Amino acid sequence: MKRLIPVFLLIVPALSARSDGRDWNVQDHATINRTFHVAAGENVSKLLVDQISGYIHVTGGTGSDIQVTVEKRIRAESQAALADAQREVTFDMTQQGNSVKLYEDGPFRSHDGDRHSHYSVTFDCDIQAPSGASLDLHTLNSSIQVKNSTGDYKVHTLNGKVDMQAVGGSGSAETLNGSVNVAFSRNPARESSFRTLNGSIDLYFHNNPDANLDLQTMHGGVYADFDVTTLPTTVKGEISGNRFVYRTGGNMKVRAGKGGPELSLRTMNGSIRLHSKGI
Amino acid sequence: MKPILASTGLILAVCAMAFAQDTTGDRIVVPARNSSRPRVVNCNLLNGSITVKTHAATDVIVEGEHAASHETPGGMRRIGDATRGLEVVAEDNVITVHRRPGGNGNVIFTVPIDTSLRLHTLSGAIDVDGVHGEVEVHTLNGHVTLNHISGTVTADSQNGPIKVDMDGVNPGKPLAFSTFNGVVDLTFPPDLKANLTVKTNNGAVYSDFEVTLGGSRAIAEKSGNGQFRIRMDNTIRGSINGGGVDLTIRSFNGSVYIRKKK
Repeated sequence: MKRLIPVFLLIVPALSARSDGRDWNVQDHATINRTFHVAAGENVSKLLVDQISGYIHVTGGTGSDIQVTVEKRIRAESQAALADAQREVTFDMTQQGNSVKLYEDGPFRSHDGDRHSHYSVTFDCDIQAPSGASLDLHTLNSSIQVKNSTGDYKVHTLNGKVDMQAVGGSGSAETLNGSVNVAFSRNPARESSFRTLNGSIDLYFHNNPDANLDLQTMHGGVYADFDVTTLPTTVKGEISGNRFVYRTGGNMKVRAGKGGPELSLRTMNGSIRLHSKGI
Repeated sequence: MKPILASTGLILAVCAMAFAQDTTGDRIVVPARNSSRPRVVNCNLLNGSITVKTHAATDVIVEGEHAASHETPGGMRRIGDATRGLEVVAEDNVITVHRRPGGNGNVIFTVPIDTSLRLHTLSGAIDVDGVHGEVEVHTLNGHVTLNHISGTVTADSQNGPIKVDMDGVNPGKPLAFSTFNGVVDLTFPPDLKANLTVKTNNGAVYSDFEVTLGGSRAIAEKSGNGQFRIRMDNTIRGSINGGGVDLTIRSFNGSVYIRKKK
């Protein structure tokens, strides 16, 4: 037993070094500001953000400028890795007419293995936009927040929550691991969807909504503070010789108020809560 | 030949339509199909009670109820169940029902009167009313209540009372009722003819039938040192109305009531 102890002591530092993952010795930080002039009006201008790491916060306002503030943070294993990051990872901001596009580019876009694994770059975006701008926001490992927007939206992240306050357009809001919280200043006028895999969905309607809701959760409940009417769903079936298989779909459809645009809400592990009183 | 082809086509059309049925919540209607086999409903649940009632129609209706395990957030009410639903397989008049993966909750059947049942649940009660056929039910944690049954019954619970009221008994099939922790309360038609075997360790046996007792048996058990230990078995054996169907009743911690239907 005595002979084992020195061996154990040698292994522990080795294991702990591995479990720490990367050792970020070098860091760099930069703030980027840009302003784009676009036309005001509902769904006239468009803001598209497509990035990998970093949050996206968009706040609507009365002006007709899109003001972008990006906090760029680089963490690297060495000065050489930092130089690689500065050269390889870019954040392109372009304007075409009333459309502004922010796009993070880097070696990870081309699936070339772990060439970039010796550094980490995040772009945290704080954006002021005309409240009517339509939004197409995409990140991978952070949250997305939208405030005071009346334009249509397409919001997507993978690991992070989606939080939308005082929105009046229609569209989709999705994440994989995180909650989806949407409060409407005007209820969706067209088909919209709100999805997550691991997290709850909370919709705060502007007064009692008129909508058809398609609801699905595997491990959670569906709750509302207003009356709904259950609508028929379709039983899916298969036939194989003399064998008939019927399955209820695990979803439910309800009508709120007089009915209206279809709102699809889906989660796997989490509850769905429908509120009529706003936040 | 043509009428046969036409009717076959009609049957196929009806079958195809069954897969487009609209439903509300977890509700599946399984229409009757031509089969020489008697109708059997199988249901196997992990968590949830099973209720069976009858109707005059020929189809089997399967309905799922959500598990009431989620707390209601303040000021809100649950508006239904959107969890994974039910899967029903119908093959040659045998209808098998279970919850889809991840699903819990009760299942309610509405069946034609002539239906046999095989119902199993780990945690939940089993309630059946009015079927004619072979009824086999088992629960681990929950009561069993069977009313107005004609045919034969096997009922078993680990932790729950068993209450069965039979309108008619199939003389060719044995009856068995057992629970570990609970009362067994049985009601049979006055003309029941049965060979009775009943045992309870911590309870009493009551009956308003005339039971002709057959006496207890001695049991010899060999001990380790070559000696025999002889003890009296406390199982009661007897006959009702001259004997007939085998009727076995067992409770460990509970009394047994064998009632004559008024």
